[in-house]
Amino acid sequence: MNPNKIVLFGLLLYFNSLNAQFHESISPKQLYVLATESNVYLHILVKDKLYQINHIKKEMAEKEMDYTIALFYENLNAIENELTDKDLLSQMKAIKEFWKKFEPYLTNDLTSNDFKKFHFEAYTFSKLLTNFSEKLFLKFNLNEKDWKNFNDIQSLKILVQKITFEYLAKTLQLNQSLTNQFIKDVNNFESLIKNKSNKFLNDILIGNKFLAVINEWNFFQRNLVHPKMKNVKTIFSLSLTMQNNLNAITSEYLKWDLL
Amino acid sequence: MKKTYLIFSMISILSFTQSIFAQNNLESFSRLSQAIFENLMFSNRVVRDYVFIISNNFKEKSIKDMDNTLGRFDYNMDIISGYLPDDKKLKDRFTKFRFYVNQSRLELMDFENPNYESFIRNLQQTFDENKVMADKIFEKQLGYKENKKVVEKLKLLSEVVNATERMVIDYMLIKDPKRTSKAKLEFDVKKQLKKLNSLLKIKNLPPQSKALLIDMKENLKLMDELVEKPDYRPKMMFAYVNNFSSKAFRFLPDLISLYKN
Repeated sequence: MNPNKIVLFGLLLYFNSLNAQFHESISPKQLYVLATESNVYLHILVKDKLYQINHIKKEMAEKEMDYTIALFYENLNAIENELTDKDLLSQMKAIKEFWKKFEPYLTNDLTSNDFKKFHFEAYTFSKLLTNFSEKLFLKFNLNEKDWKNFNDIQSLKILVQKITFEYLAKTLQLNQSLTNQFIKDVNNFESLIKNKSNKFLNDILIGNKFLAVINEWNFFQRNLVHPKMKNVKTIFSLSLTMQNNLNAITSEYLKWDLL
Repeated sequence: MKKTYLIFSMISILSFTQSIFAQNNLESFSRLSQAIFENLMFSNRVVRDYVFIISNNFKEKSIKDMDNTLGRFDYNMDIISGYLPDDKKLKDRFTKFRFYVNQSRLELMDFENPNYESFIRNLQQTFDENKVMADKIFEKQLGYKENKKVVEKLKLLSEVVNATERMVIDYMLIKDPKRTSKAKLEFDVKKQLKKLNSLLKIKNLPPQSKALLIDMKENLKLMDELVEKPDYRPKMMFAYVNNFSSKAFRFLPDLISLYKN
């Protein structure tokens, strides 16, 4: 046998054993993080759209929306690329189909009637995403106890977006149910922070970051009491800071692999 | 009786050995194909990463992707070097190409280069050399004649990927209001869709491979819509091209698995 061929054959076996894949595979934990994060993105988009169509912090809202649409799309495809389970794949297909229907609302101008439809669609979409995350959680046998804190932070992120959205809806007197929801969500945020503060503040890694969230929330809450048009811009900016502070905690969880 | 048994045993051993060699040849040809076509599809990806980095859109992701891509590119070059035919000219060409790519790496790390556009165009030209060499290396391989049709399909795939990546690079250079590129943004989406349709027509393609191609087609249309719109949306373009490219890389082994002995 030609010696070159022997070397080649050896190399072949070596490379086969390496079985190198170009794409970096994502762990089940990361997949779940991406899925829950997509739901946060959805709420950011809904908030931004309302601010955009009412010309309040329009440029900032558009910028955030553009970035979030891209991240949302990236997330869906990253998750899809990793799934092998047929049931989960078909659910992801449904999510992508929904996204196709949903995205034009974000990029087109909307009348107030269109916005109502958009808001309703967003509600359905969020349910779909939540359901998907829950299925991932079960499929990967993730431990509920380990994920409790992370899921609470994700809930706080969604609540910040919802409150910011509902505050503007209330100020614009869009509808009574949103005003009622606003009161509910503020209370939910408040109770979640109170119940969790001891646990989070005593955590060496995230204690300081959570303190920043509490401080910001106190300031945020003071501005929420009186719905005035002049307050709307402040609320929008404060929500960005809150979001950043909460994101810093998520990053910490991922960086130190605390999940 | 003993003689018959001996002859029968020899025939069985011979056919078994032949089948092992045929299998090895097929695996070897598949390995080379994967390395060559991955590198062809990487050509404009590295440049695309560079453009996103210098325009500050998804900078960290792009730096990471460039790093991974160049690493894999090198790994593939090592594989390809083991298959170079006994042709001095081709070997010299391969060495020169590798030298140029390595030399460009330093410049690829310079994100403040004022002459970024000429650097990008030169780099694209350097990578074009890859395509010419690939043909020459392939022609001399065992398994090429038997699988020429599949190789043609692989070429189609790499052409679509490269044309798309090139369009994205041009989009980033031309549409960005901060830049002053004089290049023209031309993208024949119909031509690329036709190529993807031709891939879709391949017989025995499993449903999951078809799903990848359908997704690529949809992505291509979305990118084309984005190009047609007056506003500049680099982040969305990043999301589209990233998905498009990852689907193409997933489809590549499916296509290679169609090789026959």
